[in-house]
Amino acid sequence: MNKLIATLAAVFATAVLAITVHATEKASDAAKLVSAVMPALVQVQYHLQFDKADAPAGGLGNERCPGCGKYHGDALKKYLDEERPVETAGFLIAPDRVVTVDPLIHPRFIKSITVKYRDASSEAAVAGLSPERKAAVLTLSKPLSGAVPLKFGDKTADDLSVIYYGREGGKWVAQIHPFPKNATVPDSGEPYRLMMIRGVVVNADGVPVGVVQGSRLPLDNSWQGSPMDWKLVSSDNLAAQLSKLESVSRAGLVRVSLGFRSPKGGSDASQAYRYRRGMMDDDDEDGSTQRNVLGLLLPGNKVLVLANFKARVTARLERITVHPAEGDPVEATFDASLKNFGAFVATLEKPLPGEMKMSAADLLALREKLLLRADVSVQGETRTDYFQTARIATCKVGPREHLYPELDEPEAEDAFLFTTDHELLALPVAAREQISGGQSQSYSYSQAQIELTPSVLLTAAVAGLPDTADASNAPMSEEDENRLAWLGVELQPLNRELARANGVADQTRDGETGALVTFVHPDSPAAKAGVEAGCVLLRLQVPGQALPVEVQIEEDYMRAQAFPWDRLDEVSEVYFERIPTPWPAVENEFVRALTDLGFGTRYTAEFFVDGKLVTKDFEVVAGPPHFDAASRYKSESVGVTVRDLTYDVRRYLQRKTDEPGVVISKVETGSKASVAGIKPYELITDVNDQPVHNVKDFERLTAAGGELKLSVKRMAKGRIVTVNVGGN
Amino acid sequence: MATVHTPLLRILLATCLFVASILPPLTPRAAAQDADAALAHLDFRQVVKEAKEKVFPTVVFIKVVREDMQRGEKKAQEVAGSGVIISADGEVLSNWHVVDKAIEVRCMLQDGRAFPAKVLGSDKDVDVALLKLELPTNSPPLAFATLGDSTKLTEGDFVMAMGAPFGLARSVSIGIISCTKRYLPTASEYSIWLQTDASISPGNSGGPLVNTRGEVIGLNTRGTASFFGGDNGFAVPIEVAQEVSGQIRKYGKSDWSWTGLQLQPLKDFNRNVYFPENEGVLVAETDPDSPARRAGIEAGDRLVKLNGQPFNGLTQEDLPDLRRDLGLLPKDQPAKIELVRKGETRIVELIPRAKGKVEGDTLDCPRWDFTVRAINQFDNPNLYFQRNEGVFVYGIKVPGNAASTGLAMQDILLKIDGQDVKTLDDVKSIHAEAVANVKSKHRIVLTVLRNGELRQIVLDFSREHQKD
Repeated sequence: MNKLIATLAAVFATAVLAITVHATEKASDAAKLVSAVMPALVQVQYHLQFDKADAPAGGLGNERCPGCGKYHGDALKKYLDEERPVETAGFLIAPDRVVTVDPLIHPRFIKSITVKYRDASSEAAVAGLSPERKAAVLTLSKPLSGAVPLKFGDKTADDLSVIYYGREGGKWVAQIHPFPKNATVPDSGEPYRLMMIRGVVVNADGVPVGVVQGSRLPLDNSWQGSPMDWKLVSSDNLAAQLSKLESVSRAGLVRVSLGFRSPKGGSDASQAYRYRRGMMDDDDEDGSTQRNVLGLLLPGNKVLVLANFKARVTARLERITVHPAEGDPVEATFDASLKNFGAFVATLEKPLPGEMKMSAADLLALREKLLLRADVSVQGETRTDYFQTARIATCKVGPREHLYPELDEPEAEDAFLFTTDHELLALPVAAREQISGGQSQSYSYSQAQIELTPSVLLTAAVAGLPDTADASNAPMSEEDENRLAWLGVELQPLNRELARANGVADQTRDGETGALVTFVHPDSPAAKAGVEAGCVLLRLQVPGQALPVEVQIEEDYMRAQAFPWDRLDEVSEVYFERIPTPWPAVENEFVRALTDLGFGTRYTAEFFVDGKLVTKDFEVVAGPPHFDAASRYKSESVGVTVRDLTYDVRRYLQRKTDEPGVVISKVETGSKASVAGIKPYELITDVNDQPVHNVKDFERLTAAGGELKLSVKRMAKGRIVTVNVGGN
Repeated sequence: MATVHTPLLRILLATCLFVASILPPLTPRAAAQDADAALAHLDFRQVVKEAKEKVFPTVVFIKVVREDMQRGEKKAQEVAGSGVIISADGEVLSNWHVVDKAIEVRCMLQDGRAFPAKVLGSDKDVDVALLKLELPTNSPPLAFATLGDSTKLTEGDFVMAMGAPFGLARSVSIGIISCTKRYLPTASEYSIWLQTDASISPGNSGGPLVNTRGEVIGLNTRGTASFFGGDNGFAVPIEVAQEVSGQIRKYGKSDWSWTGLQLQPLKDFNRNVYFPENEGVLVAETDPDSPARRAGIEAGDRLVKLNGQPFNGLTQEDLPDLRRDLGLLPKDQPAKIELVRKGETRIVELIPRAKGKVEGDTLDCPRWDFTVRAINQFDNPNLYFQRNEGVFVYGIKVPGNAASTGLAMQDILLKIDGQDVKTLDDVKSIHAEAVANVKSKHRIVLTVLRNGELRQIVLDFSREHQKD
């Protein structure tokens, strides 16, 4: 027994010894491998600064990982917060030359560049950028004492290692990594090797053979050699290129001012109500009537206006004015909104020079190659432009399987990407959202996703008009603007209890979607299709659209109480405009979604009737006029605005279509009407004993002036009001 | 006061000029010396003393246990008011709102004797009730008040209010008649009011307003003041109280006739609405399914004579009298009405009907935790407009099963679990069955009409909220 233990111990001890010896051997190997390189490893520090109000942004420190595809590192502002420079490794290739990764930071954010070797340091400046590799070459203002430039040996494929220089555990270290053996063979194009680390590549003897700065290398050894031999675009040359880019982008990328008709004024209450229910978005929250956006001059006197407007905003569009870099503004007329992109096309009334040239270059082949970038945005009538270089980090599959380029900088929402030939390669465009109904989706406050979109996709979409257009997203007359689609049903949103009681918990995520049909309007599409009150409307399916349109309506808590008709007389006239309508608004999330599908769109509605799923086919049709869109007439002399009795109001007031009446939608404070005790939402049925069937009647009968006798109704109560409006 | 939920209600409240019950200061009036000077020719102290001595023994302090369902369950509550004895055998006049829904009435006389009382009848429209003290057999006759003539009053006449403000029995306050003909919108169906600045507070209700001769000329009913203070008390003229108590004695209830005429004065300063004519009264509208509509009377007609007598409503103050005339028409007998329509005089026959109840009955639905009330044309005209029969949600208990479902007051109940509901009895039987079977089924679907919109509400009544 003891013997056995002793034997085992001896074997174990031998094994440990062997390992140690091996490790010692490796350590000496390692020292040998890095010894030639160590004196050339330097630290490059970029001292950052704010530019105007902008925090520094850029690629370095926030790079896209070639391994996982995600962004690693911190945003540049964090370095400013922590009062330290953003840093990377550099390799001394001549006494005053350092090669390093292209930082991809706009010079406006760089206060200074320092290169350090141990205790020595020197100011540095960018001498040039490599067009092919993601590298920059810096010149030092003075040599670094003790540092020795790399001396490159012959090209070889044998037994290579990569020496990485960077922080590990907070301390600068050199690491030796085996040179990767992987290869990537695409369907088309050259095979390449994916590099997970950057650094100096050395041969088995520790002699440098090349420097790796990008994440891809050719499989052969053509990439090897001294960076001193690399082709370089000098800083002066770059400045000239960017200056050319400026003139190209200023000419081809123009400010477009858009004039809108004022949105229809609702009562304060209904505005607040719409806002609360999330039916206002950034596009129309202030009902803005003037907006400035960017437009792209295209061949054929076309301009592509980069504005992702919802249909109800475009509906109010009245005027498109293009402001060229030089010369007078030119008007343009609306052609069509693109279906898949947040942009529309307009035709210039007269040609403008500077039409943008689009590049159809292969995005994949351009990865990490030197490109140009213009960051252009408009703030009102002011335009901001910044120009710099850029590189595509990678490409991803985006909407409809197209390839979309990605930069190292994730937040670059204004970036227009150009080739070094000054052709537009990609531009920031919002992807058009699908109409999916419900407040949690398309009616949320979230901004549309801006994608850096290849310009070829947009040229194809423009060329493909009208097939690529969204016909429902177009300017409309004021009368059509408030037209809403209808199915002809009144809906009550489900909740958990209702969903379970109606047996649709599984169909509606336990009552989160779906609505009870509480009423079917006679002669409506729903009535004609045989829909009956009591069933549950689950969702709509639109051919060609991936997402179903969920029926998601928010409970209207404003209407949880009966309208206080009997207390209307107690309301001071200054609050009249705040009284919500007694009848519910026709427009709700469902009606909005249906309208946004566009009139004429065919869809299938899914109902749950008597325990069974029933589908019915419909076409989006415009509903009859409703209260918010009713014809109206404002009588200045009487001091009221009256509207036609629309179907929704008639239903609430139980007035048949042949019964006369107009509804009072507004009473001016201090007016004759207000003094005479006329209140909002009362009816006027007769003027001077003549029945009033619509606002035209009212206008005609009150035109005479003098003493007017109005028959006023409030629910079951009535009275006769005389007002003397003079002018008889 | 109802809890304020919506901004609209808040606006309504903020703009209310009147509030229902106002608390005037309880400081005693230092009026005696000033009054002495002003009334040098009278010994005013003597006047007050005599009147007080005459009326005080007839004033009763009333304590009532009433049962209310406004909070979604049957809740008993004690309230207090005043009254005045008008007969030796113990008839007491008071207000409808003092004894409304009473299940127990106790009265205390000035000498401290206390008796239970029975409500013989009451009338909501004029806010008058007639009670009978339940005296022991062979009780000696009681002192009772002399009733005066309120039509002889003029503004400035001294009056005294007697009763139990805030339960402070045997109180008297003095003041003058501020207005003999006060019209209060929404509270002047059949009578105008006597307005006085004698302090009237909650608890005065039902007590007598007394003239300097010690005669009862009104029943103190409302203490109403503006936000900015000031004493504005309102009393029902004694003639109106007599009229109604007469009806109650005769029929066991007030018994108005109903025509369905909505009247409008010819001259309305408030609304600046003037019609050139000086005779008659305008028909503002006729109620649906009413005798007036059946008689062919139309909105805009000017009624000029009722049964040959002039029928003039120049201002709104004239309207209560006209409505009282209509309310006193013999039922089911044609009344002759002369009216002018577009310059043409016509005579129509109108056959009034009994007005009947002016409030729907109420039913308590324990465990469901809400109460329902029958829709009444007069009490709930806006619900009646939507549905002229049926029941609505009157009160919701909080916390309770109904409250957590989103059921709302004024929801008209159409169906319970698919069964049509039209009467309280319908609700009663469905409720009884549902509660009896709660162990096997504790969820029902209510179909309600709210603001004209149909809604379904699932009521889960498995939880017992009444648990102590």
